[in-house]
Amino acid sequence: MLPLDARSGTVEAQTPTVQMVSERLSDTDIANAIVHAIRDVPGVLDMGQGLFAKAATYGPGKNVAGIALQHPTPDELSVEAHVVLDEHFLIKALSDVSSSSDTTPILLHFTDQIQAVVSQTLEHLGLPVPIMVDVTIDDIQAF
Amino acid sequence: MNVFNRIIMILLSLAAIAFSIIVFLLVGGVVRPTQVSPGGLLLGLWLFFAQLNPTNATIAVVVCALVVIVALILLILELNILRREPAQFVVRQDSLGKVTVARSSVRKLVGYESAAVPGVIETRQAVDEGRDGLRVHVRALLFPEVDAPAVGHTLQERVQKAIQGHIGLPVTEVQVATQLEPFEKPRRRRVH
Repeated sequence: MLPLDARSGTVEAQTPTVQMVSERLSDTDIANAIVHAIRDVPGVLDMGQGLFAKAATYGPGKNVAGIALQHPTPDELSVEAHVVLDEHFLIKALSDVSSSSDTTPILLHFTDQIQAVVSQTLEHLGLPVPIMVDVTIDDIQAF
Repeated sequence: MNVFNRIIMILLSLAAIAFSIIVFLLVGGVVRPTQVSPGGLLLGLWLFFAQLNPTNATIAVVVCALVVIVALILLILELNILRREPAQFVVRQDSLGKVTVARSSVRKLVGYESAAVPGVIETRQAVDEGRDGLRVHVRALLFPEVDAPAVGHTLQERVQKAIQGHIGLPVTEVQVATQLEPFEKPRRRRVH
C-alpha cells in the first residue's frame, strides 16, 4: 500500500505492517514458512509439540505444529518455536566443540540459528522483524 | 492429565468438601437452610438434608465424611503434583526472546556425556532445579575392573562441565552413585 501525501503530492513509501501482510497471508501460511525454514537448520530433526499444551498455529481446518504465533498488537508479531534436535548431530557437535576455543554453549548455537532463520523468513515474507522469538528445545531424538 | 484438568479436579474437591461441611452443619442443626442459600440457591436441597430423620441423617454424615476424605486425598495429590519441578529450564532471556530447554533434553545430554566416560557401561540420571543452579544425580553402572571413585570423580567433572558449557546452565551439585549390578529393566506385562 502506497498512500499519497496530500501536501507534497508525492508517493510516500510505507513499511509493511503485520496487519497489511496478514491481509495476504494467514497465520498458518506464516507458520508453515517458518517451519520449512527451521527444518533446514542443521541439527533440527523435527518440530516439537510443546511441553505443557500443544504448541501450534491454528487456522480454519488445519494447524501447524511447533510454531505458535502471537499478535501482542495488530502491528506486532512474536513467535514461539518448539524444536526437536537430532541426537547424532548434537553428539558430533559436542565432540567437535571440545576441541574448539568457542565458549558459547552449543545449544545456544542452535537456538541463535533458529532465531535468525525465523527473523529472515518473516523478512522474506515482507513482515517486520518479530518482537520476540522464543525457542524451546522440546527433545533430543535419534533419526 | 494436563494443568487444566488438574485445576478442575482441585475445584471439584474443594466443592465436595464445602458441600459436605454444609451437610454436617445442617444435619447437626448448627445452621438453617436459609442461611446457606443466598438468594434461595439450592434451598430445596438444603431443606431435604435439614429434614432427614436420625437414621438417614447418620447415613448422610457417614457418606459426607467419606466424600471429605476422598476429596482431601485428591486435593493433596493434585497440589503436590502442581508443586513438582518445572518441566523446562530457561537458558537465556533477552530482547531477542527466551530460550528454554526441556528437562528431558538436559537429562539426555547428561546421559551422552556420562556414557562417553571410560569404564561406564550405562547410566540413569535425574535433573532438579536448585536455588542457584541445577542439581544432577547420576547412577552409573561400571565395569568391575575400573577404579570406581576415580570414574565417579571424572563423571562429576564431565557432567558439570557439559551442562555449563554445552547448555549454559549453572550446576551447583552433581551426585554420582556407582554400582556393578545391572539396572533393573522395566517389567513388561505378558499378553496371553
